[in-house]
Amino acid sequence: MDETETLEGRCLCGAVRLTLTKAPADISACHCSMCRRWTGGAQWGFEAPADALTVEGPIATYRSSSFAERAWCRDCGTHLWLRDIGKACELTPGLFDGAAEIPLVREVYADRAFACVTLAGDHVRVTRADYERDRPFVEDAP
Amino acid sequence: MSAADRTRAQRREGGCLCGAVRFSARLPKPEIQACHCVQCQRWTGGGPLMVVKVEDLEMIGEDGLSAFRASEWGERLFCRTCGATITWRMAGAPTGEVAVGLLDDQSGLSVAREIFVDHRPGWLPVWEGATQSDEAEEMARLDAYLKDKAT
Repeated sequence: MDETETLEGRCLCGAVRLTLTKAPADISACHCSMCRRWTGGAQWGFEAPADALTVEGPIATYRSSSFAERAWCRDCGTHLWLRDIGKACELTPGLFDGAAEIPLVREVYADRAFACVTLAGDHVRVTRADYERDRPFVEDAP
Repeated sequence: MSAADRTRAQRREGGCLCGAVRFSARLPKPEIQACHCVQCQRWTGGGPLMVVKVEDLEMIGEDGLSAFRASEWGERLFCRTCGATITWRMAGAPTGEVAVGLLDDQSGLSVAREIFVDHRPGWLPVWEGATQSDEAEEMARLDAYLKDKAT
């Protein structure tokens, strides 16, 4: 995927359209308990700078913690993003064609992943303890 | 009693992220199906959609779900309040599977079947021991099912 290329993304029903002027170089996965419950598996995402992103359509959001929100298409339920309030959206790669070819470089809450979600490659794996050392706590009791 | 029998006998509980929808069900088999089709990838944000079969499903808050018909034959359910992925099912059919991430206890389950594997992203390895089928095989299976249903 050419990083200077403008990308058009959309949800499954097409009601939400996204334009991104900076293509993602790589994606991350999150296996925290909230992401697992929200997605049914793992959350995939890449950061989209606010000035590179335009979004139109019927968007619903849920404040899943004191510091973060999750967004989806109100009409079809496609997952759009996870973001810390006031920060850039972590867009889901599935919104864009060709996403399956973007390399995965990082897993967080790697020690909390479903036993059945073991990702290939020698990418960075961050444990829950490491991740929460300098960030807000999100997990339920162990 | 084998591990599989214990899983079958046990009811498991689950729910969406916000708790508007809660359920309990029996799991006939400790087996997950992972679907890599492009619709599931787009819908879940990357895929696969991982579901487990359920029996005797009792759901609380079902009227809090939205259903989207992405094809003539299937519909996709999600929580209207938090957007959590609930399941895919044949349109009009009862819910026979739920997303594995909804279960409070996901222990003892493993991926037994992968479908639409020709769309698998590079970062997901083949699940060892799982059967594999591609889009052509799955569409042929669906055609046969729909023809059978029509006659």
